[in-house]
Amino acid sequence: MSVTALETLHLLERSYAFDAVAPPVADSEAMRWVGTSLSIAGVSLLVGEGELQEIIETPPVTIIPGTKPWVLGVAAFKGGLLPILSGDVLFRQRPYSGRARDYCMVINRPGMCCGITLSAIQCDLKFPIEQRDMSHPVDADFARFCLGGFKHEGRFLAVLDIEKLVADEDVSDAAASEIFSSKGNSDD
Amino acid sequence: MTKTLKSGASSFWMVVMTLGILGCLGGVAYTFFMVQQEAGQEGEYRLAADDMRLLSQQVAVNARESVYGDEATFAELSGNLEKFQWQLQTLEAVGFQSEVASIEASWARVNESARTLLDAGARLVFINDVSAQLERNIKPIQSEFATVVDILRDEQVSSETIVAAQKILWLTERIARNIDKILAGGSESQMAADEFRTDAADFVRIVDALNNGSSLMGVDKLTDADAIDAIETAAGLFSVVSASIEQIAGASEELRQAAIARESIAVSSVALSDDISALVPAIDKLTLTRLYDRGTLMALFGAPGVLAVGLLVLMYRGQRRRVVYTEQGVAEINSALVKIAEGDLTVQVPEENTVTQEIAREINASTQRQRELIRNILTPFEISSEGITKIGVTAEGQVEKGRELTRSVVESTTAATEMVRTSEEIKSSTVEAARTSERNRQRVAQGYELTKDMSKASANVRESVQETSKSAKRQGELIQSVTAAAEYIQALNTKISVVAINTRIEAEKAGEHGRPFLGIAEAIGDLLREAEEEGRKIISEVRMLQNLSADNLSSMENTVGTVVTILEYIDRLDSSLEEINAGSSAITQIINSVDDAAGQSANTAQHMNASMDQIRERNLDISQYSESTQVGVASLKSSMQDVAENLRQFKIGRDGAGEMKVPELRDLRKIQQATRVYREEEMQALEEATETQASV
Repeated sequence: MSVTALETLHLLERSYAFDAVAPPVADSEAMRWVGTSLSIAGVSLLVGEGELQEIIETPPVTIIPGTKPWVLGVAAFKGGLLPILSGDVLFRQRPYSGRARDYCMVINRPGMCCGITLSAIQCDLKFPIEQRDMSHPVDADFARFCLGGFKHEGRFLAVLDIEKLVADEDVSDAAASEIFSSKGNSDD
Repeated sequence: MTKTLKSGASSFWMVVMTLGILGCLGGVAYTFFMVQQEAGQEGEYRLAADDMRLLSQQVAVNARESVYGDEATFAELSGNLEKFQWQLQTLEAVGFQSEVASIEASWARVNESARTLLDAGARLVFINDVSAQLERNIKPIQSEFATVVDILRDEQVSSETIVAAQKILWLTERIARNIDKILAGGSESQMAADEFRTDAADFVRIVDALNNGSSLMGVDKLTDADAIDAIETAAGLFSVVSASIEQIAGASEELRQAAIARESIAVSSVALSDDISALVPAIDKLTLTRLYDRGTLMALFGAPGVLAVGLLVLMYRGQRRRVVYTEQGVAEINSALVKIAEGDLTVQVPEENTVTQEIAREINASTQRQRELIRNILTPFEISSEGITKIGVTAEGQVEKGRELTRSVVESTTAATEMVRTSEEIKSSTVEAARTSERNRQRVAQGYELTKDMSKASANVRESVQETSKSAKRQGELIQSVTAAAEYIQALNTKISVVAINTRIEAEKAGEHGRPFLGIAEAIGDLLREAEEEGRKIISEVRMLQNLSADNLSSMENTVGTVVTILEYIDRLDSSLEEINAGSSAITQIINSVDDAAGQSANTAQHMNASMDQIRERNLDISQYSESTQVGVASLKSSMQDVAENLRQFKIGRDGAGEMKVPELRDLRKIQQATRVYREEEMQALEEATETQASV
C-alpha cells in the first residue's frame, strides 16, 4: 500500500514544523524615556527629548552691561540675537575661570530663548521609564532644577527639567542686582 | 631527841587528818545516795513527759504525711494514738491531776481529728494509688491517641472523628489534674469531682464511638488495624480510672473532711505541746517537796566536803616543802658532777643543805686533790713545748725557701719551652706568609689587567647609551605628535556627536518625514560611542607610552652618569693595585728577617732549658738532706700534740698554766709537708691548690 499524496504532504508539513525555527517574539511596547546626555559645570545631566532646540558651538558674544554675572552676552544666531548664559556661573552661583566652553545648548521656550554653555557632550540615550529614580541624591546646586534621573554605566544622570529652569524667577530676570558690577561678564 | 619528837607529832597529826577525811567522805556518800534515790523517780516522770511531747509531734507529722496515701503512715498514726493515751493514764495515776486535765482537753481535739483521718485512710490510699497509676499511664495513652490522630488524618474520615480523637489528649490531662484536686480536698474538690465524672464518661463514650461509630456524635468507625490496636491499648491503660469513677467522685466529701481534720491537728498540736511542757515544772515541784530542806542538805553534803578538802590541802603543803628542799640539794650536786665530768675541776659544791652536806664535802676535797696533780704535770711540759715551737718555725722557713726556688725553676723551664714552641710557630707562619704574599702579588697583577679591560668596556657602554638616548628623544617627539592627533580626533568626535544630536532634534521636528534621519542619527550615535571609546583608549595608551619614554630617557641618563663614575673608580683601583704590589714586596723582606730571628731565639731557649735541668738536680739533693731533719721533728710534735690534747680536757684554775696552745702545735704539722721532693708537674699542681688543704 503506497503512501498517498495527501499523506506525503502531511508528513512533509510535520517535518518542516519540527525543524522550523521559532518565530521571533516581538518586544513589548515598553515606554522609553529618550534624552541627550551632556554636562554642565562638570555635572552629568540628561535633557529630555524635545526640550533642546539645538547644540551649537559657542559663538562670539557681545557683552551686555547691567546684566547678571551668568549672562555672557548676545550672539548672532540664524539671523537673530541669542543670549548666551554661562552654565557654570548660573548653577554654581560663583565666578568661573576654567577652560573655555566650546559648546552650548539652545533652549527655545515661550518667554525664554537662550544658549547655556556646556562642559561636555556625550550622546542620545534611551531608558525604560520605570527605571527612573526619583529619590537619588543630586548635586545641591542642580537639585532644585532636576526631576529624578537614571543610572547609566555606574553613574547617576540627573534629568534637568527645562520647565523648572525657565520658571525660576532668578533665571528669568537677567538684570543685574546691586551686588554685581555692570561692566559685563566673561566666561574665560 | 628533837628529831624524834618532831617525827611522832607529825604521825599523830597524819592519823587525825586521815580519820577526819574518811568521816567527811562517809557523810557525803550518804547524802548523795539519798538524793539519787529521789532523783530516779523524777527522771521517770520527765521521760514520760518528753515521750508524750514526741508522740504529739509524731501524730502531727503522721497527719501531714497522710495526704500521700501511704498505708504505713496510717498504721503508725494509730500506734502513736494508743501510746499517748497510755502515757497520759500513767501520769494521771501519779497525781498530776490539774496538768493532765489540761492535756486531756487538748488531746481530745487531736484525737477526734486523727480518728477522722484513720476512717478516711482506706479511701485515701486507694485514690492515691489510682492517681499514681494514671500519672504513669498518661503519656502512653496520649502517645497512642496521637498515633490514632495521625492515621485518621491520612484517611477519609469526618472532621468530628479527628476532633474526638484529639479531645482525648487534653481530657486525660484534665482528669489527672482533677484527681489531684480531689485528693487535696480543698474548696474546689467538689467541682473537680463533678468535672472528673463528666470527663471520664466522655473518655469512655469517645472510645466507644471510635470503636463502633456514632452517628449522633458524627464519629466514623475506625477501620485501620493499627488505630484500633492503639485505642484498645489506650483504653486498657485508662481502665484504672474507668473502673473506679464513682468511687473517686464519691470520695470528695470524705477527703474534704480529712483535709479539715489535718488542718485541725496541725493547729491543736501546738496547744497540746504547750500543755505537755507545763508538766515539767510540776514534776520539779513534786521532787523538791520530797527532799530535805536546804539546811539539812548543807549539813550532810557541804560541810564535810569543805572540811575534807581543807585537810587534804594542809597535808599536801607539808609534804611538798620537804621534797623541794631535798631536790634542791641533789640538783646542786648533779650540776657540780656534770662540770667535773666535762673536765672543769674548779667547781665548788655548796655545803649548806643538811640532807646533802656530807656528799658535797667529799666532792670538794676530791677535786682539790686532782687540781694539784695536774699542775705538777704541766710545768715541765710547757718548757718542752716552747723549744719545739722554735725548731718548727726555723724548719718552716727553710722549707718555704726551697719551695720558692723550686717554683722559680719550674716557671723558668716552662717559659723556655714556650719560647721554643713560639719560635717554631713563627717560622712556620713566616713561610706561610711568604707564600700568601706571592699569591697576592700574582692576583694584583691579574686585577691590573682586569681594570684595563673594564675601562675599555665602560667606554663602549657610555657610547652605546648615548646613542640610545638620542633615539629615545626622537621617540618622545613622535609620541607627542601622536597625542596631539588623538586629541584632535576626540574633538572631531565631539563635533560629530553634536551633529548627531542636532540631526535627531531636526528629525523629530520633521515628524514622520524625518524618521529616516532619526535612524541615521542613532546610527551615527552608535558609531560615535565606539569611536569615543577607542579614542579614549588610544589617548590613555599614548600617554602611558609617553611616561615610559620619559622614564627610559631618565634611566639612560642615570646609566651614563654611573658609567662615568665606574671609570673614575677603575682609575683609583689601578693606582691602589700598584701600591699594594709595592707593599707586598716590602712585607716579603720583613718576613724573611723575622724567620732568621726566630731561629736564633729557639737555639737560645734550648741552652736555657739545659741549665734549668742542672739547677733542679741540685735542689733535689738539698731537699733530701732536710727530709731526715723533718721526720724527727714531726714525730716529736705528734707526741707533744697527743699529750696536749689529753691535758687540755682538764680545767684547774684561772691562772691558765694548764691550758696548752694547741693551735700552735697544729700549725707545726705544715713542716712535715716540705719533706717531700716535688717533680715539675707535682709542683704545678701544688701551686694551684691552697696551702691549708695539703696533707702529709
